[in-house]
Amino acid sequence: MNLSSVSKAKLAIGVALAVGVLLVASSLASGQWVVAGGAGIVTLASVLAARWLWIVDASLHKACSVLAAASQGDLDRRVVNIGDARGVIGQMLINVNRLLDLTEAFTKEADAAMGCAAEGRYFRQILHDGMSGEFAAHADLINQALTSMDSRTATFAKESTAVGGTIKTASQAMAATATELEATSRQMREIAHTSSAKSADVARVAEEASTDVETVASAAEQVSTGIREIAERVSHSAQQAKATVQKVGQADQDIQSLVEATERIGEVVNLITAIANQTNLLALNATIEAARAGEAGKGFAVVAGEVKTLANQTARATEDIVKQIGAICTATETAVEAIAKIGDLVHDIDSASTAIAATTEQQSMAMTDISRSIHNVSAAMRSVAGTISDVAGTADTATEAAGQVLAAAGDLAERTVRMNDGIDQFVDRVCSGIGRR
Amino acid sequence: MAKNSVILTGVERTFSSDEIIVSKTDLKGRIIYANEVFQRVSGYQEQELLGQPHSIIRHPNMPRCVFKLLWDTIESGKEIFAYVLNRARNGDEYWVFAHVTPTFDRSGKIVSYHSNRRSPRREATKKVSDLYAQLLAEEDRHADRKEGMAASTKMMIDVLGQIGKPYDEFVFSL
Repeated sequence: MNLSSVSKAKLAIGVALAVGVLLVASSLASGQWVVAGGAGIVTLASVLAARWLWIVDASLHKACSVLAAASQGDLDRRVVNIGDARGVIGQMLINVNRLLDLTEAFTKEADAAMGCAAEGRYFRQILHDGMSGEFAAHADLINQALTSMDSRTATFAKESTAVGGTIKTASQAMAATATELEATSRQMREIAHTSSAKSADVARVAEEASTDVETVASAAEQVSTGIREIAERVSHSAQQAKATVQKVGQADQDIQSLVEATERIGEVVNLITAIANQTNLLALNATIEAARAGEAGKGFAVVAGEVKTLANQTARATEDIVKQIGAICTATETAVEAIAKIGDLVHDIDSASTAIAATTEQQSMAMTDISRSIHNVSAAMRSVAGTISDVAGTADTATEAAGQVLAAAGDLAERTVRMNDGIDQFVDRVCSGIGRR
Repeated sequence: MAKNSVILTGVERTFSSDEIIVSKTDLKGRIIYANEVFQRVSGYQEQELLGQPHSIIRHPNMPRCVFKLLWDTIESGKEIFAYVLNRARNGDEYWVFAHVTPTFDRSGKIVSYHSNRRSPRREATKKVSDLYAQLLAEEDRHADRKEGMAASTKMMIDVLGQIGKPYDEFVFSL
């Protein structure tokens, strides 16, 4: 039989009570009064013992129940209505309550202190008062730990804030630099863009100008060619004029020769006239002589008459010749005068055309120079256009590079701002995490 | 309980600094447990305390706004510390530094309140009694209880505002 001491005591008291009652009954029936009195005392004692045992049992059950709850972690339960319990049992119940009071007080204090510590508030420590023995020692230990945590978090917060401040200063400087860089690269991009656009314009204009100059050059070349042709023609005219002058000179000489020949013809005509007069005179003499010869002379007279007719015809012919020569002389004089005038005119033309030739030669050379210069200018302009195109290309590259720098600077600025915020949040988190703001 | 109807002897009781007065109340403030230090210092038997309202040991010199703050705090699930003047059964008085906390069940619901009271330091109760006297005077200036309590609560908030500390830190600094 596995019974507790109390149960065994209950059983024993029950047996004693039953025996007592039976004994009282049998002794009263048999009239044994002394035995009945003794049995009655035993019975009464048994009843009292049963009552006290019941109180002890109840107290034990209460204590057992509270301790059972406490052993399961329920520290809230207490033994109440312990007024009936006295002595060691009552003291035991009070001690159970004391132990639980102390334990619960300790756990609540520890909870509160830890709860505040979790929020970074270290002023809330476990109250030492009311704690005794090892509870007090543990409370002191926890309080020391809290004090240490407090000072460490204070130091940590200070250092974190200082580090955060340092990082922030650096990152702010970085942010400022990034912002500056952003602004500069934006400016750069604009400038590069503008110069790209402008150089493209210039290149286009230079190209156009080059084309225009080219047109001018070819026009100048045409002019030059025209002038050269004119010069050649003028030169040709001058040569022709010179040839004309020579020919006129020749004509003049020819006419002089003609005049001389005419004069000589006049002399010959005079001679012929003299011969004809002489002949006429001779014919007359012959006629006279023929007449004196009579008949014999008659044939001679006919010949003399014929000679006389010939002499007369010769005289008339020479008169015509003289007239003709006179006309020739007059015509020749006119021709000489005209030739002299022509000579003068041709000479004028010659000198004028020489002057023109010189001038046109100069003009042609000037035009050639101009044309060459214009070609040079055109080439230079093409070169400029090419260079400017290169510049535009470079500016485009610069624009692109500036754009990349701008994007990078923007990105950097943004990242720096984010980093700044991050640092702020980090310091805040660190400080709030340890309860220091 | 009218102020003039309670007996006051002016005698102050004390208890040891390694003792705690412990009591537990149900949600309505009725005592469900009082330890033997409570019984000894208050002069009440356990049977006289169980089921009674906690105000059984209330001293008339306590301003009502302190209890209002106390109940508001613990009903919101937080702990509170307060210096409280109590009245023993025979009219004697005793200062306690009370720490009152709600007790929660497993689901987090408040099932009871628990109070540990420690023997306070003399200089703290001296400062507190001056403040309480002002608060009480403020409450007594108003015929209406609610108005009086509102006025004294405002006064307490102002005092805390001047000190620049939250209530709990203020209490600990005393």
